[in-house]
Amino acid sequence: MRFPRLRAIIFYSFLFATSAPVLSLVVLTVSAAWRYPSLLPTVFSWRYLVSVLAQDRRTAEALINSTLIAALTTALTLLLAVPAAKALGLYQFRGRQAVKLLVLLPLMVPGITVTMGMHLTLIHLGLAGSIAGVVVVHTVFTLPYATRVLINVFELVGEKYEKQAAMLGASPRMILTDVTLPMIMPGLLSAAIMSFIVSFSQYITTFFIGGGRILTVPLLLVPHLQSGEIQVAAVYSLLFIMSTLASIALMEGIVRKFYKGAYFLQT
Amino acid sequence: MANIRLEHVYKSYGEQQVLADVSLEIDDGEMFALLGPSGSGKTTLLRLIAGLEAPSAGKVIFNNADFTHVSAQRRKAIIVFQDYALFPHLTVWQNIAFGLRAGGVPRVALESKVHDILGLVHLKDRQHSLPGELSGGQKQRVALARACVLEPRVLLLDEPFSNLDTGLRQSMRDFVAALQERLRFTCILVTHDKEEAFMMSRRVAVIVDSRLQQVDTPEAIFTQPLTKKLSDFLGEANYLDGRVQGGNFYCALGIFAVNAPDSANAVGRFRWDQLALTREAGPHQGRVAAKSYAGKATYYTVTIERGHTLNVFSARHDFFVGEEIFLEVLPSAVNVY
Repeated sequence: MRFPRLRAIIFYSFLFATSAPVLSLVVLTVSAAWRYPSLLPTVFSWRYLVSVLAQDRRTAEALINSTLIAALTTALTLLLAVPAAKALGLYQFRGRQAVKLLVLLPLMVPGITVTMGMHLTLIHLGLAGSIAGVVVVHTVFTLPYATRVLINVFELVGEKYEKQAAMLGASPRMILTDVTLPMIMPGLLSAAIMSFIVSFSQYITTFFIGGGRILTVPLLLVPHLQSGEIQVAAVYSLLFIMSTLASIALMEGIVRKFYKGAYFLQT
Repeated sequence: MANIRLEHVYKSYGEQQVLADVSLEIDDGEMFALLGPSGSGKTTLLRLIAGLEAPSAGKVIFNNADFTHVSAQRRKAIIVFQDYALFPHLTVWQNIAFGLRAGGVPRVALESKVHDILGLVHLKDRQHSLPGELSGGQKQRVALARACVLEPRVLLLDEPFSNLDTGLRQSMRDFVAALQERLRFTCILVTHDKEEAFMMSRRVAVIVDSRLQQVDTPEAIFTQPLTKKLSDFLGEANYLDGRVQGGNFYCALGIFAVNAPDSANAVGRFRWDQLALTREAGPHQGRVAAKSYAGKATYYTVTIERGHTLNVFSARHDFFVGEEIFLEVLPSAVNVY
């Protein structure tokens, strides 16, 4: 260990750089007056917290909607991404490399373009303004991330273990539940977490497709930012961070419970 | 356990032919070796027998029943891969029980079978370990146990010893041979190592360039390879031009009885170990041009009359470079192509 002091300085600078914004958010939620050049607020108040958490009914509605939409989006994404990633990761076919790149297309085209285009289609299908419609649009944006992560996992794990299981007499179902799923679980978890976060933080897509009827946390947050009610926005931001973290912890907990000693790609 | 028969098996991937017209019969309970250089198609043949691939043409027959289109799941022909493919998330015990569970073996029978085979492969004390915690030899024994516990029709070993250190390799060869002796399963060993093939089995099939070159005893393959391709794969041989007339091969080293039709342009094969150096006067005088010591033997390069250069593999290390010596041909079959 050379330069222990330098290492400590670098470490604490990074720690400060990452935690300071969150800390200032926390302080902001209880500050009624906080002006330059004061280091800390001059007047404290609970009223922002109380109004958002206890008085505003829309908070609960938005939280429930956000979580429900993110959970459904994650489920739909994995359902589509796992078979797609397996095919792209393991099977040899003409145009495989091109398809692997095209999977990322929804992220390369400006999001608003995709959303406007889909809005028309969803109106025709009668899905605009519904949770289902929002989930479909969110999935368009989560699918590239999830597929990409899972392609890498399938390429890493390979087909050998499935072949070995088949030779040992396992049925396709047993191969899926006892070999493939446990082996891709770390990647599956990453893909799920990423999908959840991407869905949870969508604003424009929810705004357009939900048509104002589907209220989510970002939809509550943004107007307050624009109107300068920065303390209310801070409360929503903290709520946003905490519910995302709680969901990730829940997902990890479930995986750990069902896949004890899960293989965390220790190659 | 089963008798395995391949009938005119072909396999191609697109334009590329991997196996051409392979016909082969392996007896019930036999330890059989499939020898060939890498890329010769021997691993593909193994996968065809296991049902991981289907042949482009031809038949795979187990005990007189056509298994060509039976799925891997129902074949009970199990490959033990070079890197063992142990399920990394399952313990030794769970790995070994995997196939029994797949086959719906009742709990009590399953436990006793796993228990017995764990004893046979000396892994009782490691049964709760994960594969990541095992040594190479232990992993291989788990892989063998996982396959053997199912009493497979045939056990297919794909380059089983090439990942092991030299010392361990020999003891695992002995272990596999003893296990096969004891359980009497039909076993096909795929290897690129000719010594390994010769030592492990009584019959060896050699595949070179997608084609079966010869199926024979190790001695016959070593001393009388039927094709030039096989001879080239075995290596360690000198080739001398000459002619065949009336069952005799005439070349710079003399006249040798051969079993070949008359030909004006023949090539005779003299193994390096078939030639010997001596200081006693003989018909072929030569000079040692180069020498390289390899422990149990020494490789010499010798030039003889008319500028022929020959390699000799000798247990004697005392000839020196530049020495005038005599060369003799030891009595052993000479092959011409």
